Amino acid sequence: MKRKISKTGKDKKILKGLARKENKALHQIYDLYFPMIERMVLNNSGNREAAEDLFQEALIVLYKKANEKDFILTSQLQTYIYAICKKLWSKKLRQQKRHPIDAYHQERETAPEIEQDIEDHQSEKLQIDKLNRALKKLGSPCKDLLEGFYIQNYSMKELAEKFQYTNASNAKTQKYKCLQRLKKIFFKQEEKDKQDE
Amino acid sequence: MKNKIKFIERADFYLDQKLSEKEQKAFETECNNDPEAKKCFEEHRYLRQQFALKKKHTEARDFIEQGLKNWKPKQSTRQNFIWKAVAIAASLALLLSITALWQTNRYISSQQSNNFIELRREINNIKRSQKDLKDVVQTNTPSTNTQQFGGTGFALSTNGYLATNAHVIAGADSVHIITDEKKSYKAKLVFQDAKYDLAILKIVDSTFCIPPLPFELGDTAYLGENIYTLGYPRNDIVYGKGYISAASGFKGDSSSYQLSLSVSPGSSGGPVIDKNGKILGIITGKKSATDNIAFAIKSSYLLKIRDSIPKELPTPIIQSNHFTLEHLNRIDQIEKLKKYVYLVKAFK
Repeated sequence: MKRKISKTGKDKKILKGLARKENKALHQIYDLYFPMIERMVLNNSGNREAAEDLFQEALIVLYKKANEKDFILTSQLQTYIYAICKKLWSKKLRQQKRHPIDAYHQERETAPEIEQDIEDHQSEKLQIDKLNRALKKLGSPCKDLLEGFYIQNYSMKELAEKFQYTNASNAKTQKYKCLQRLKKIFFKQEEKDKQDE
Repeated sequence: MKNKIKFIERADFYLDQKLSEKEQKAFETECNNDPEAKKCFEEHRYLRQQFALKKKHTEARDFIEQGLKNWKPKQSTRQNFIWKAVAIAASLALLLSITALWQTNRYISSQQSNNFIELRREINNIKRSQKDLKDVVQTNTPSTNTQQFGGTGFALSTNGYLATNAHVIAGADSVHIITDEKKSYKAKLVFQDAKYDLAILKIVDSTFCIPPLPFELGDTAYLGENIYTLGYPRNDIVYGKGYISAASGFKGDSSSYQLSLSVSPGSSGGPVIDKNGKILGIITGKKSATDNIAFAIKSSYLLKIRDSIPKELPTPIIQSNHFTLEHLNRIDQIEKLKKYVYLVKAFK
């Protein structure tokens, strides 16, 4: 879904830089918007560390969005970041059964597309969490082998060297075995989660 | 699906779009024909999606963590924000207190000056234009780039001793006396007493000589007694009349009288004269908040000085015994007295 053009050229420039993994863009965003988020967190029973974690999570959302081909910011970057952080933080507070985010922050309505981005992010995080749980159960070296192949994108040859298998074909066999085990754990876990629901 | 390892490898290639078109078709056909293969592939694809998500997330997190590592935010962190606020508040407070102090000081000093003004007169403020200065240089008159203050003084002896206020000649480099007839004499300071604001000058010119003094220094004055004064608030002698309104001076100072008398800057050092021509005191200042309230040091203090410091007065101050003013009317008294009252000019 295409979105309207961002209001300021500056925001666009920052997002472009972010998509290109430019540290400068990252720092710009931090300098511009972190104080605002920090204030919000500090005013809502959080500390600096919590604010930093929250901001980094918002940056992850933003970075992923910036990398989507058809992503164009509809609101100002500031509004976007604030909305994301606000949602994430009030969710965190609810989880911790703390006071919900204060009325002033609650009142402001979030744009539906931002709402959607947050939902996407949340569900992605849940899925990743499931995978992580399965991988954790799988344990080393299977976990590292699979992550090496599917996440770090090492070749079989590189993995064979890394994990000291005699050759690439041996590594491939090991990887297959690990994958089968992971599947077993993962889908069993999926079923169990469904039952729990 | 004979070789499962091979199948998964092909599945990965298929998902990564690394297969040729032909291989791709073959793979799809295989999946469609073999339910077991299909199920295996679907599961694999699903798991791969999870990995893809994790990959994207990990990538993002790594980039952000790396990017923020060893980097300090420019400013505007909460701490800096607080420090800024504190700094601003502190400087404001400082500014306020300084202003308050200054204002209070000003208020106090203005109050003081409201209460008591010394009546020496600034003769020239030397805020002349450059043109004036140039004129001065060209006409070769002595540079007047000094401050001049003026007051009044009166004779204590026939050979050039005279009394004035200490504040009139305070800090002066040189003092000149100008008589009623506009004759100018250089004078030197012989004695001063800042406590009673009295000074005794001696005219340096030894040829200076005046007739015997027609008055004496009186030692008591009565409340309500009519008095008058002669002084130099201008370059010409000015007469003023009033009465003694209190036997003590400013803030109950017992060395002074309070007078109901109109005085202006330049009157300082002028004699306070009673109807018989006796000198009762010396004008020192006035209360600024009200008109017509002046203060004069009692002449008994002048007598004390005369008696206590003969050493510093090598030629004794001659007290006249000629009471020739007693039976004269005011105009004749003034006619005689004005020869003994001088304009004192102090140069700084």
